[in-house]
Amino acid sequence: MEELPVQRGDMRPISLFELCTGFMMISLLGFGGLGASSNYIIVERRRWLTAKEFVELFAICAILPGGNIMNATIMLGARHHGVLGSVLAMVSLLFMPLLILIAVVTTYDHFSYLPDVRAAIGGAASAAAGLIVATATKLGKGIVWRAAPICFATATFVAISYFRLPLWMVVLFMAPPSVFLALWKGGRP
Amino acid sequence: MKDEAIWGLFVAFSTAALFSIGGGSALMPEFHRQLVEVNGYMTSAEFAKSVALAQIAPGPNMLIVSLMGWQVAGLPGLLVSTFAIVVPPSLIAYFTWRTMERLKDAAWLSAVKIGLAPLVVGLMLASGTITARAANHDAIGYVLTLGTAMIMHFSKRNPLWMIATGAVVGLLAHRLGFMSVV
Repeated sequence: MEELPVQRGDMRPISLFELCTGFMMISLLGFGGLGASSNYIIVERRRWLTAKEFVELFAICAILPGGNIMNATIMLGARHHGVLGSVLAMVSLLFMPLLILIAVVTTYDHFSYLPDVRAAIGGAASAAAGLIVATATKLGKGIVWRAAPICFATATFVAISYFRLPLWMVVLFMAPPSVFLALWKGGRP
Repeated sequence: MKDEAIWGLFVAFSTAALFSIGGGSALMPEFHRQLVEVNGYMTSAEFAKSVALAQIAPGPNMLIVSLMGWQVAGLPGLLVSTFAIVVPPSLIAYFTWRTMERLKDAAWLSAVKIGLAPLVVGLMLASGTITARAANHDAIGYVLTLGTAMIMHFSKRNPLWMIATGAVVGLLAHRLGFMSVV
């Protein structure tokens, strides 16, 4: 797998316009969740963040209440343009999807009974599940995989997908030892 | 009834928002309880339809509450519900960011990020498999899911292509009689 040529990462200034178009793209490309499309825009296309910065931002956003990418939108907006950046980035993220939602809800009853439409939506849903899996493996590129992270990632996966434990419970039991280990190593991966 | 419903939507969604650790899909049982069981704003079938519709449209998963607001009280319902689900967590995210900026040289903050990262990968993988189990009803579904995951992992392709491919494959499989429509 090729490395990204030059990672500009954290410090490159992003214009307000670029921020808004970026989040608009993320929302318009995001079917069945914004994980794949935000990785695509933020890390792969526009290179606002490196893979490592992205997984760390995502980690903080996932344990805060609210949508993960909505929280990331607020934080990236604030980092580059303060409160104005947060507000405009969020509006950019929400505006088009809301219009599309209204269009879909007002027309769906006319076409939803068509088996073709249902089959196409079913196929798209299967692909969307694959996108989530790939987002997980891509987020994994930002981590140095030693024994401890492998154990914590596996345990979290099993607890949620197999035992169906709620996330808060998993975070409560898994985060302290994982964070403590990282701290013990001096905050280095 | 309508004004009362709008206030009810605001209360239901803004409180749910504050407990929505891990994003929108974790909240579905709570939304169902609030809207269908407690308040009776919609039937269980209408609720299921909202969930299906929200999956067709692009954008944040959380916007399912906008759709529910629309179904309960039209445009005002949509706006109030969106506000309720977006604004309270956004304020928390903003002040968390301010705090993190102040502490960015602290070793423990970078340890928190490094320690949480593997959990997030596990969580994301889990949510992928849970979604796959719900979405796939036959072998073709699983082939689509796995194929999409492989192609996306090894390329930097626009995810929209994969969704479009999935839709076309679903349609063809149905037309050729390989896939049952649910």
